[in-house]
Amino acid sequence: MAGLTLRNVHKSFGKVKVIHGIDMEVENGEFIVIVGPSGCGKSTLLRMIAGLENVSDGDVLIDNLKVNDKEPMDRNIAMVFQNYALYPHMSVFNNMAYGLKIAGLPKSEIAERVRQGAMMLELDGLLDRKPRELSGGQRQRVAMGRAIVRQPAVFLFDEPLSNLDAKLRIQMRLEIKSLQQRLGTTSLFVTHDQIEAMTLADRMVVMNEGVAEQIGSPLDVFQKPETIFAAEFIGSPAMNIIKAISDGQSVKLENGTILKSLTQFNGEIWAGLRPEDLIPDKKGKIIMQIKMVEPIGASTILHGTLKNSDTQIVSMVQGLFNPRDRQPEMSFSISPEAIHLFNRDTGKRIDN
Amino acid sequence: MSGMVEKRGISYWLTHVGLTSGVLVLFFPLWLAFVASTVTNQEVIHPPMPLWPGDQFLENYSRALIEGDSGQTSASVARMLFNTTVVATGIAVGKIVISFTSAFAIVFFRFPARNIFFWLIFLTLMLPVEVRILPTYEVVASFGLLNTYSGLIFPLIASATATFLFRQFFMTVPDEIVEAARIDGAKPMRFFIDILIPISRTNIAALFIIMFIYGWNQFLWPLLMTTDPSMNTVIMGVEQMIGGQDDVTPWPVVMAASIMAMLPPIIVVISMQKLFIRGLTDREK
Amino acid sequence: MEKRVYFKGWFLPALLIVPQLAITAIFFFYPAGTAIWWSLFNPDPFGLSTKFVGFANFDFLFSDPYYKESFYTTAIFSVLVTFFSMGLALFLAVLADRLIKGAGIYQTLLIWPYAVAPAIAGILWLFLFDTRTGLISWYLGLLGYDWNHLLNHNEAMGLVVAVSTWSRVSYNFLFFLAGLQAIPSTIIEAAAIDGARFWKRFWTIVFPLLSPMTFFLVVMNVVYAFFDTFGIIHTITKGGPGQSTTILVYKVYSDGFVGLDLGSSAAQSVILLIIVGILTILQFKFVEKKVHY
Repeated sequence: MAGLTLRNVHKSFGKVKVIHGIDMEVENGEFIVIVGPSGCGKSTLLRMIAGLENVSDGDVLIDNLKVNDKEPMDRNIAMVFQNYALYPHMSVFNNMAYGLKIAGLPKSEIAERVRQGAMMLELDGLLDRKPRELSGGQRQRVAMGRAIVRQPAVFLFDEPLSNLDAKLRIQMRLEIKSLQQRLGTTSLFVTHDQIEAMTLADRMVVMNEGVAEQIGSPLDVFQKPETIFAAEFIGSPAMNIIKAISDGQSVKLENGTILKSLTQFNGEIWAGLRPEDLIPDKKGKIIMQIKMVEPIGASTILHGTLKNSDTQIVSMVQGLFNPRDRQPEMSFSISPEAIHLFNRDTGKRIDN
Repeated sequence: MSGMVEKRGISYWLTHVGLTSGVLVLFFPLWLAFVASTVTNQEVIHPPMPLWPGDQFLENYSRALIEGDSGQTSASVARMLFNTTVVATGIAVGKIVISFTSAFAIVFFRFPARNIFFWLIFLTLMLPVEVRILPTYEVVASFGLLNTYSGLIFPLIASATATFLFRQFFMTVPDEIVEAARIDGAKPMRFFIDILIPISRTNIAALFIIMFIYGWNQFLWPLLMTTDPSMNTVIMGVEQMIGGQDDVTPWPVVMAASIMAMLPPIIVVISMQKLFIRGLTDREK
Repeated sequence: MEKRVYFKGWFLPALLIVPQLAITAIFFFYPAGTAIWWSLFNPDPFGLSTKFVGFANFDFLFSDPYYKESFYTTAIFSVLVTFFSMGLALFLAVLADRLIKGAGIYQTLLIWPYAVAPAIAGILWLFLFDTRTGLISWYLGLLGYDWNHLLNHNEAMGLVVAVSTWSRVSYNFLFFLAGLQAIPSTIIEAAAIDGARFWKRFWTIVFPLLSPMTFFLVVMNVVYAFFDTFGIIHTITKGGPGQSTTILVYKVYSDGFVGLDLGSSAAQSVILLIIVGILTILQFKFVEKKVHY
C-alpha cells in the first residue's frame, strides 16, 4: 500500500515554473530523503505535500486519497520546520498539545499522547519550559514531539537539522532515524546535505531545477548515478567530470590519456572518475600535477590538473600524506568498472 | 558603542558634570513649580519667590483637587483627572484595537484592494488633528458629540502610527509559525487569539504607554471640544486657570494642579521605562 | 515586503479592517476633503451663504504679508527648535554612552520631560518668566535687564524656542542613545586601534553611522515644531507680541476659531496638509530604506 503518491506534480509561481512534473510512489513506512542544492524546488515540493502551497498541476495522494484541495490539518501529516517554529509563548506541553486541542481530543487523551511523545524524546522533565529556555537540540526534539503526538500518516521534515551545530546534527540524525524505524511512519525529509541524505534514506530523490534527476537507494545513486548532476552532487569530494571520447573499447580523456573501459558506446562523452577510485600507481596512466594537498585525517585530498591540460582533478588517497613530501606529479590508475560514462549531449548515464 | 576607551581621569568627571548639568536644567522648572505649590500666593507674587518648599502643600493640593480655581472657569482637578484618565485610556485602547485588527487583516490575508486600504490608512500616518481641526470640529458637532467622551476620543484614534507599527511587527513573525499553526489546524481567528495576541504582548504594552501619554497630553482638541467645564481634561483645564494680563493667577493652586496633571504620565514613563523606550524607538525600525 | 504565508477569504479581513477605515473616513478623509472644499469658498461665519471663489483664498494668502510672516516665523522657529533640541540631546547621549555604569540612571533622569504635556511645559516656564512675578525675569531685572516677552519679539521667540527645546530633548536623547548603543563596539575599538581620538572617532565614524537616525529625527522634530508646540505657544505668547510667534498651525486656529474666517483657515489647512504630505513621503523613504536594508 502506498503511503504517499505524487502524480506528475507541477508547480509554477506566475509564469515561473519551479517543479516540472514529479512522479513517485512512497511505500508505507518508507524513509524518503529529497536532496538537492538550494533553489532546486525540494522545499516547495514538501510544502505542496503539506498543503502550504497549491499544486499547480498533477495530484498528491496520501493513503491513496487525493488531498490536492485539503487544508493542511485535514491531510493527516505533521511537519518539522528548519527553525522549529515553536510557539514562543507556549510551554513545551502546550506546543505539543496545541494541534490536539484544536482537533478537540479529550483532555486525558491529549495528556497521555504528550506524555508518551515526551518520554520517547526524553522531554519528560521539560514540559513546563518555554522554548526560549531550551537548547537547540531540545527545541528540535519539541518540534519532533509536536509532530509525533499527531500520529500522522506522513512526517514531513524541512531541513530540520541545519540549525544545529555539527556534533548535535549527527546525534539528532541518528535519533530521527531510530525514531522513524520504531514508529514506522512514512517520512519525507528535505535536505541539501548529501551525507544526511545518504545516511537517513531508504530511497533518495536527487532534485535539480525542479526535476527529479534520480530516485533510488543511496547505494544505487552513489554507484550508478543516472545523470551528471547526481554524479557530481552525491559523493565528497565530488566526482571528477572530464571531457572524453569513447571508441567502444577505451576512453580517451581530453589531455590524450587513454583508459581501458567496458563500454561499447562510440562518440563524445563525459567521463566520471570518483576521487577515491583513483589509486596511486607508479605505472598508472593518469598523471596529475599536484597544486594543493589537504590532509583530512584518515585520508588526504589532492588537488591538481591533468598533465598537459587545464582540467582540474581531485583525488583522495588513504592515509596521511605529509604536505612537505609532495611531489610535483603523481600517477594514478583506475579500474575499468569504476569509470562512469555520460552522454555528452543529454548528461544521461551510458550503461556498460 | 559602550565600553569606551577613556574610563578614568578628567574626561570621566567632565562626562558626569555635563550630564548632571543637563539633568539640573531639566529639573529646574519642575522644582520651582513644586516649591510654588507648597507656599502661599503672597510668597509667590512678591519676588523673589522662595527656593525651598513651604508648609502649604496640603492646603494647595486639596484646594486644587476639590475646588479647582474656585469656580472661575474650570472644574475641580479631581474631576478633570478622571476625565483625562477616561479619555487617555479610551484613545490608547481604541487605537490599539482598531490598528491591531486592521494590521492583522493587511498582513495575514490577501483580499482585493488590500494595498489600497493600506495606503488609505497610511496616508494618515503623520497628519495631526491640528491641521484638520475646523472641519473635524464640524463633523463632531454634527454628530452631537461636543462635550462627550466619544467626541474627545474618536477623532484622535484615527491615526496610522499604531497600524504601521503592528504591521512592521507582524512582518517579523516567522512564516513557519503561521504554517505550524495551519498544520495544527488553527483557523485565522484561532491563530489571532491563541498565537498573535500573546506574542504581541510587549508590543501592545509599549504602544499602550505611548498612546496613553499621547491621549493624556492632548490640548487643542479638548480646548475646542469642551465648553462644559465638567468635561474638561486636566491639561486644558490647568491652562485655563491662568488669568489673562490683568487677572491674578492663583499660582500655588495652578502649580499644584500642573504637578498633578503631569505626574501620571511621568510615573507611567519612569516605571515602565524599558517598554516605553522600546515602543518609542521601534518606530524607526 | 510581503509575507509568503497567508489565510484565505475576504469577509473576515474586511470585517477586521472596517473599524479603522470607518474612523479614518469619518475623522480624517471627510474633514480633510471638507477643508479642501471650504478653501475654495468664502463662507460667512454663520453658514448663511457661501460664495465660490476658486483659488482666491490661496491668492489672498500668498499676497497677505501676515501669512508670509507666519511662514517665515515657522521656518525660524522650527530650525531653531530642531537644532537646539537635537544638538543638546546628541551631546547628552554621547556623554551617557561613554559611561559604562550609570547611563541608566541618567536616562531615567533625562526622559521624564517627554511625558510632560507641551501646554504644561509652557505653564512651568511662563511661571519663571512671568513679567511681574517670575523668578528669572526678576533676577534679570536685578541685573538691569528688563525682560518682557509680552512686548519684545525676540524674547518671545527665544522663550518659546527654549521651552520647545526643553520639552523635546528627552525624545531625541532616547533615540540618539539607542542609536549609539547599537553601534558595534568592535567598530569603535578598530578606530581606537587605528589611533583615532575620541572626538575624531566621533566625527569620522560615529556620526556618519548615526546619520540615518539623524535624518529621521530631523523630520520628526520639524513635524513636532510645526504642530505639537501649539500648547507651548498658546500658553506663553498666544502668538504674540504682534504676530511674532504665530506659527502656521497657530494661525489656522486663530483665523478659524478666533477670527472665524473659515475660507482662509481652510486654505491654510490645505497648505499644511501639503507640507505634512511632503514630510511623510520623506519619512516613508527613510522607513522603507530601513525595512529593506
